[in-house]
Amino acid sequence: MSAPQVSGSRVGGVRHRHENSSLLIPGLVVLGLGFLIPLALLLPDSLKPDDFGFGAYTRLFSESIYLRIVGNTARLGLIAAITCLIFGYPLALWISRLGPRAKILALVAVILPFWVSILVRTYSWIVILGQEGMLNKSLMKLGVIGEPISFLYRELGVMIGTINILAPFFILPMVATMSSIDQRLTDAALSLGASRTQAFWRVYFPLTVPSLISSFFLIFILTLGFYVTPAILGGGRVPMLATLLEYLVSVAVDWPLAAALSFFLLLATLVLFLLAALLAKVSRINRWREKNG
Amino acid sequence: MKKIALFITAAMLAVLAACGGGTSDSENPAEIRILESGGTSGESIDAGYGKPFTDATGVKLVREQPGDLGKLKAMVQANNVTIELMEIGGPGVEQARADGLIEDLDWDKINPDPMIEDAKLPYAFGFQSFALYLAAREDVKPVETWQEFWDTERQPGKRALPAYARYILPAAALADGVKPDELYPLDIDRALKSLEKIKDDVILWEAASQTPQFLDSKEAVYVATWDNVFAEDGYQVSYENGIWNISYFVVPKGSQNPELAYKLLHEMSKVENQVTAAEVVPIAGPSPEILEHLPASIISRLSTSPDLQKTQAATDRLWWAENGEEAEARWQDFKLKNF
Repeated sequence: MSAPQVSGSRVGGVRHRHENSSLLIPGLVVLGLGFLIPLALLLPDSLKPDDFGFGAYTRLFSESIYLRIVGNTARLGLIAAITCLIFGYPLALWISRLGPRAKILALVAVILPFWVSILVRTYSWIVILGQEGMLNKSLMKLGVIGEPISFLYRELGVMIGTINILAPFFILPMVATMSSIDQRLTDAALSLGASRTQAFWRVYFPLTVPSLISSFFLIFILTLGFYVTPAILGGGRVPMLATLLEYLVSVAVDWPLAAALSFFLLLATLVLFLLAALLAKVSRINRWREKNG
Repeated sequence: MKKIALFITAAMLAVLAACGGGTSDSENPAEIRILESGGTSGESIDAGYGKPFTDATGVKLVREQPGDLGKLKAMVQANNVTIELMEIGGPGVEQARADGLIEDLDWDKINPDPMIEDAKLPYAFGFQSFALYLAAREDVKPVETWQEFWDTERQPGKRALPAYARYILPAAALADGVKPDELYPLDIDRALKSLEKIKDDVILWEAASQTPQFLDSKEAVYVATWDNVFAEDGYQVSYENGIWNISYFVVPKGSQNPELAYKLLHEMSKVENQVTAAEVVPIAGPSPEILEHLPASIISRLSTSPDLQKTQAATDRLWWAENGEEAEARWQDFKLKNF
């Protein structure tokens, strides 16, 4: 996810690698006890026998309602990722070109919301977006609208809340990448007769693509499993994977199906993650080829 | 470096072990934990039953919430039942029993005062009757029937309904003109068709305590709710035509101290304690005599008052035990297609 860089010195690599791997042990223990072992325990649950021998997976793929929720979630994930791209890319570009002091201020403004609980931020959106909320009242006072707009308890509200909370995950890696790009490359392109647009699209933009791809998929994947904000701002009207899981676990008490759905979500995420890594690699190779004829 | 890593690992394992190994003295407990639905109903448990129970036994009552079947199943399966009693609605009781999650009660040990028949199941103690009732914002036309609740021409605006099939489907059927005493067997098709008519104006709630907020923020004009929206707070409330249900306490399988739970249930069967609880929030306890002990102002709001019973629809626990899964699935499917 960080900027493409050739790793440092390879001298004494063996010894270094040995020491580094022992430092991984604490993290691996926590991951194993807290995630991998419980996950393994969940697998038999999802394979509880039914008529066909595929456990709850048969129901997952034969009943259209579950697949439609998966599709709905993927669509919302895509919307969130694209919106983050459209708003986040120019913002990151702007921040990366600020002077050192202004840049820190801008980054703090992006990071600041991280310090506020996600619940508080989500409920704040109710105050802002409600029928009697700040936004509707202001718009009506200004005469922009005659009737209050319903933002809440539909996809629009869920998307606004979700994008607000996930956007820093897109902006921060992009700023890191853009800051590490040598500004002289664009200058060189300009001096060789490229127009500003050409210099941007043919020199600058391709350098940001690997990071852009991974950040884009990060937002998409995070939205797939997003729970708190859709649950609160959706008013039960915006079905997504995580809220479906909550329903299956607590209300319907259909744990085999919940387990099957979880594994499906995990697998889909892994595939997407690999796809993102592959795409980023391909774009890097293409650039290398261009560079080396 | 390796030693440090190993040391950190060992330290973390020790912390994990310490967290898992909490012990409790089940012989002589200082407190009893119960899982209940919270809100004003929870406050009435403290006043009505918790206080006399603590006075009699010296044991403190600790309430936890919210409770759902998933939590119960997780506790029972993990063999780590931390509560002695759990509150579940009638249909949920049957599901919990079918899944083997609850114990039969020893009614001899509970030794209850007289109780209505519906409240005394071999495996569940019916501790209160409550009803889903109708309420409106101050500045809109009042709502007294489900037909009016559904009529978006008479009163435009959003309506908040419970997100649960076992309440929203009966409400929809009643709105379509089904008579309260003919509600069961429930016609799921008819209920869903009725819901389709107002699908664009529905907000769903998961906890009744959300409903006053919907009215205050003008997010909704009408709400169907229980125990949280009152006329004293400036709302227009109608207890007529409600959908009533009994809420039960059950003993989870493998609970530590059923004897203590029985003592608390005994307190819940006493009519004087039920009167104290009903003064906190108008919900009826299971005594057949409770109406004789309450002032008319509270009775007029109790779901078990004879006047209201004439207009109300009862929830058929056994129908839901039989058909609940299908009804839930169809409701989920409907939500996805229409919302």
